[in-house]
Amino acid sequence: MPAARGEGPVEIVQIVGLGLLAGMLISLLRQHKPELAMQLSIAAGVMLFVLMMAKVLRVVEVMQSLATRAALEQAHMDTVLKIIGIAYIADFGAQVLSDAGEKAVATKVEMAGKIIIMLLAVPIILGVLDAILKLLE
Amino acid sequence: MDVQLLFRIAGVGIIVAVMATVLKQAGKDEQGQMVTLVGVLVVLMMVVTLLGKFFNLVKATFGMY
Amino acid sequence: MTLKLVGAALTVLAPSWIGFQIAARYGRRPVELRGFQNGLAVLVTEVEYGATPMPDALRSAARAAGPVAGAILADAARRLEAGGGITPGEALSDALAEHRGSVCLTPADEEILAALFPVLGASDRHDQVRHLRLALDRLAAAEAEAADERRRYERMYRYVGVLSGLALVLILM
Repeated sequence: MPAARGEGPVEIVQIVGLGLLAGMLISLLRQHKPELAMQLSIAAGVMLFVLMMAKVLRVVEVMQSLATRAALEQAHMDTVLKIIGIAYIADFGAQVLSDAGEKAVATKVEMAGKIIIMLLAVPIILGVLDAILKLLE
Repeated sequence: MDVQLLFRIAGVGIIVAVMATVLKQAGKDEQGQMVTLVGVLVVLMMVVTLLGKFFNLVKATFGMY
Repeated sequence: MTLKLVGAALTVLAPSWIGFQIAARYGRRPVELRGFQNGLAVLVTEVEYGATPMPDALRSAARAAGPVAGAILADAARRLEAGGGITPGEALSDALAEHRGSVCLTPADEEILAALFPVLGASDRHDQVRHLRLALDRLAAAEAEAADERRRYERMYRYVGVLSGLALVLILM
């Protein structure tokens, strides 16, 4: 994993370099073979996401430890993490699609992501409602 | 999972583009389209493997199984 | 690392070589057709004005016909001189059949020659000359077509060979 190597400042140079390089290659390819340019942009996007994943993992660890310290219910913490993951993936797919000019499909993907997040959030919302009701009584 | 894959996809794309142009100029449009199709499929294989790895990574990171 | 580089070089070279071979066939076909035309033109004069014996006529035609067509004509002359009671047409057909591997003619080109051979040395002078002139015309048309194909495909096959080698290396890398 590249994240184990450079920290912070080095990382951003890597990422900007990768992005610029990918951008140049994609714009070079787009004139002749747009379908391949799209795949290249997917690959570049995945790489940038993956480069960030190691950082995200650390953030998640911090959040987990905070949650345990605050004595939050583990199930709720898991749900929140899942929601973040789903948002991550859905957003990635929607962005790639809208890059490729498929705005309609991108909107549907985003909507699906939102609905799944809603579903996952139902227990938390119920818990919040319960708490509010208990306060009102 | 490094820049090499990016270069590989771009290289295949450029080669396929040039090959399709050459074949088209020689009047072999069908072969040119076949070459394009094969190129897209090959790149698709690479991208799909990459996407699979990426999704697994996200799933592992956020504990969604 | 060195081994990888050597392998990559070989992987590029092999399809490139195949491409260049195919391109070379397109390059050689017009030359060979021209050679046959030159040889047959000599044969016309030999038959029309010289009335030389067939082996000698074939030999002088072979001298004018350039390497590939010349080899076939000379081979036919040799077969004819060796005797065995074969006609000039048979000798030429046999010679063409034996050299088929080293000749870049299409079946259509061979058909032109195959239509001509049975007539040679088998009918009167006017008939032979008429058939020779017909074959010359058809060969000229075939040469024009071959030159056109060469212009279109020679470079294409080279490019395709080299590029597919490069693509293979990139995909396998």
